[in-house]
Amino acid sequence: MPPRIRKAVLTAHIATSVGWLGAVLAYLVLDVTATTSQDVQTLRAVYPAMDLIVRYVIVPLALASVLIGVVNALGTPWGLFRHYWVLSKFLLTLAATAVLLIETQTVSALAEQATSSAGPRDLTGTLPHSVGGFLVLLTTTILSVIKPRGLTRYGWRRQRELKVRSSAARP
Amino acid sequence: MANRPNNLGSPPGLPRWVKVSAMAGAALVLVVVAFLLFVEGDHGPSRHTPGDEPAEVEAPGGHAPPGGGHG
Repeated sequence: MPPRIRKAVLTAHIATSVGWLGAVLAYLVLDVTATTSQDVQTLRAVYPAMDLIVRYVIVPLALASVLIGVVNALGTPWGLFRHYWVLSKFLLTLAATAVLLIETQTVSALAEQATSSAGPRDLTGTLPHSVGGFLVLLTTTILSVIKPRGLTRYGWRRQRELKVRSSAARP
Repeated sequence: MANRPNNLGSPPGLPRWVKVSAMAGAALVLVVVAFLLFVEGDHGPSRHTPGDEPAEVEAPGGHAPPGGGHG
């Protein structure tokens, strides 16, 4: 990948990933309010706000983060399956996105119930999922910064092939 | 924390941080599954909403009372 495009892809990857983490944090605040508040008007406002954040911010950022992350990994020497930290990040992100897509329907149903039912106080919120999602995204962010060493078997083989090739090309 | 670089021909082993993280992750998953099975019971979208109650409660006369109470 040419350096300019690589920088653009990396910038987009960081922006979407960190944006996703920030949006989940905002959602978490609303989720805590939804779980702890007993005020009906607050509940009728909070659940639709959670639904809007999930549908129009978190889901698009999550999908963009996964797609751009894959492009970024495949377009650089890091690869997608060569280093354990990249592979771990990829698997954690895929799992978080899958749970998010399932949870989206639940949040929409909660928003509808909060505005239409007589007792929004009985709704339970989605706190375990939002806390779990936040911790997973925090872990992927830490992995990106620390980049702990460790080649996978595939990465080791690729590195060896490159070494053999470069030593064969030498005069 | 990292696996040793190996130039002699054998593939590197699993780094310690991967082993520790995998064990911690597996333990966490087991705890969550046990909690869901033995403490919480039902898990799924329906658990977030109250029972099988109808979404709107109508007054006996067939018309719901005005929501806002204004007017």
